[in-house]
Amino acid sequence: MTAGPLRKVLAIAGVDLRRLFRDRSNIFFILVFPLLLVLVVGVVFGGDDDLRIGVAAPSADPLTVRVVDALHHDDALDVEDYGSESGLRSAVEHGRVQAGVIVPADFGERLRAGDRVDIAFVAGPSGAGVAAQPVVDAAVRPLLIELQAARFAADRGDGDLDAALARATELAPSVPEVEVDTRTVGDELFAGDLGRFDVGASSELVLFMFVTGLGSAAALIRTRQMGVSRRMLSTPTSSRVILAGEVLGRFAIVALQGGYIVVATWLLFGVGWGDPLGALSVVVLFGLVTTGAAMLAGSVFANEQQASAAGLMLGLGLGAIGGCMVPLQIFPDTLRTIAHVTPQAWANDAFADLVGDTGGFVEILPDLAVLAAMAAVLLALATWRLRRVLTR
Amino acid sequence: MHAVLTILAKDLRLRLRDRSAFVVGVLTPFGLAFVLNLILGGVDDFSAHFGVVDDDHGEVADAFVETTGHLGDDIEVTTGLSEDEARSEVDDGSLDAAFVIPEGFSDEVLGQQPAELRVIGNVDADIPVQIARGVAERFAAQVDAVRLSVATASPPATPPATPPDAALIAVASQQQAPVELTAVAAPDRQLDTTTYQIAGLAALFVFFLVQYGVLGLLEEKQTGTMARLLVAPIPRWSVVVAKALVSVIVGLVALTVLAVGSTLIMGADWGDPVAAAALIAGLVVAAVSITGLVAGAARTAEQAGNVQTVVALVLGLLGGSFFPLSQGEGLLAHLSVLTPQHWFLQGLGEGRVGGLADALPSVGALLVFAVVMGTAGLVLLHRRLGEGRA
Repeated sequence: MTAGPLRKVLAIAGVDLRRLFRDRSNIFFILVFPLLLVLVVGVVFGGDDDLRIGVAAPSADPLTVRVVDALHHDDALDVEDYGSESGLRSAVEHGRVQAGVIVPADFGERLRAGDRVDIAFVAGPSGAGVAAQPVVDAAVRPLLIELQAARFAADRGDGDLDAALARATELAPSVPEVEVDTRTVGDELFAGDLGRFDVGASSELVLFMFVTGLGSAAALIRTRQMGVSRRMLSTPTSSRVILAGEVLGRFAIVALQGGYIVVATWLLFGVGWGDPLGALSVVVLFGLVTTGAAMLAGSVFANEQQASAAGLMLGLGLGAIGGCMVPLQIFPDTLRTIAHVTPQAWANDAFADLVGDTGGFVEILPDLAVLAAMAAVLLALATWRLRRVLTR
Repeated sequence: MHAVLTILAKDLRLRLRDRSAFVVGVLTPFGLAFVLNLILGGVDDFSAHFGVVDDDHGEVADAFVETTGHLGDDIEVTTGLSEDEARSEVDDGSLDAAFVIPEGFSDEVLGQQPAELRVIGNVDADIPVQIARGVAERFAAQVDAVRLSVATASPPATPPATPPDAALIAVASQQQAPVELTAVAAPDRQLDTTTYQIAGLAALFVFFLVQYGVLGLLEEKQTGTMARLLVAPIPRWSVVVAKALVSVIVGLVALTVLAVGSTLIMGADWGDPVAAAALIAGLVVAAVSITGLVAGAARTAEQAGNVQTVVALVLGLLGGSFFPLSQGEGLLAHLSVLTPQHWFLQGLGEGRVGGLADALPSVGALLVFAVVMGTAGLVLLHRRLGEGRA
């Protein structure tokens, strides 16, 4: 008694899944590595925005100590003390700290003697080094003002700088100041409430689903080469059922990975995926797009090596263009428009709304519609080609 | 020796015919770096556009507007805006920030009253807004310094409501600050974004590329041609060496093509050529050695290929191929040191400043990898080849 078409479809899909997981390295690529990447991205990029600076102030002179204290007390700075100027410079050059402050060893002496002294600010090569200067400046500025007042008073009085400084410090709060009021306006590129791991998680999901999907194209080729599909056709099974089984098999792998990443990142890293219906829809629709692309790739390439090389390149390339490695929000405008040639861009847009809580299922409907259209086209093309190729 | 060269020549010819090596080893990293470069291209360049709104037009306001004219070539300043104009331009991003001098500012300052300068910043222009804030605060600080100087120098018995001595104010205003924070540049031992991307990706993909020679050993064993090779009157080690050399040559060529190509096409800066060459050689040898170890430990060619990919991805991730890990927390930064990619990238940065001399420690580290992994790998492979020899 031959099984009904549905059971055959499920059987064919099941073979694909079993073959996938029999190869244990697939477990790493599909299950472990994506999480590893989300973890590392979250740790490296998601952290606090405190500027890390180093200070080299090898002196116990009370004036030097006040400078160092001013830096340590600033909330925006994460300060590390270095014993020597050369140690600090090396740290700045190598990026271990973003900038450095060097207080000369004779700071106090020279000030008391009536000389001018410079505190050196060494900016690291990155953009953060440039950013650190105004912050460091603001941190020491009150002290420098008091020192200026103290010098002025000491010059006109008995020359005792330390006493004058004590007086200046005492008077400072009661002297009216010129305040600087800074406000920001504009639409934020990134939704304000993003958790540490949120930014990386959704783009990694999109990247991996596609790369894994294309990788499974190689398995499809092996099916052809091994003649399995021909043997399937020799049974009383229509080619339509076989194709449906292959499509379901590929889709199951991709959708499974997507679902797994969503759940695992939510459980392990607390990533909030937003509206569940929305998230599910994106995973399913993007999964269908990937399936279509994978099967099309499987029908186009002649051998496994070609397919895996091209698959990796396409997967990573389209992923990069579509905003999986660098968020779309950072793209220059023209490139951002061009990026929307890729399904990844639409999926990333949808997830940005969902994860950032700026939209639910309804808001992402346009993105879903585009993904659905892409899926339909790719699957149609793939099944048309495969029907011809499988039976060759 | 002759045996080595013959096997080498044959294998190289085989590899050249197989284009997937080229795709994986050269085209993919290049393409990726190209795309990333397009996206991130301008990120290292700094520029800002500020606006100035002067609703006061007094002396002190003029002095402030004057200072905004001296902020350097990277900062463009537009004066004479109204507050509404400035606010809307900052909102839509055509200005990064705007200074607003409210009406009455000069009078308040000169009258020893509290006063306020405003800065309106675009929410996404972090760095320019901080710089704008810094400019305003520096100006405000000068005023504060004069006031505090006068207050400190005045006799303590002065009732606080007494207007300060104008002459004293004048003298205080002339005073030069005894301490200043001055910026000093540091030599750039880190790679710029473009070069980092291409070098990082190259360091990752070289592991995929060097598979072909060494894993070929296992493939040949499975297909049976190895048994025939070993029957020939050639020492066993010559086979291993030849396969290793194939990997080395392929790796060297690919990385050199990447380095030269990225310099010409993307404007990458690999620094001192000698240092870069030494680092490339070190990286390739290290990669081949690690591959050899994987091949020696694996049972089939397919398993070796999969393990190799896993190893390459993990090492690449920890070594900074995707993004620099030195920004990360302690544990990750420490793990990073155990990867060849880390030393390769660090060496390139050092080489930019100090040439080969500064890059030598990194080259040394790479060679240590090569020797340790390579020796273990050679032993295992030698034994593996001897298996099944009836």
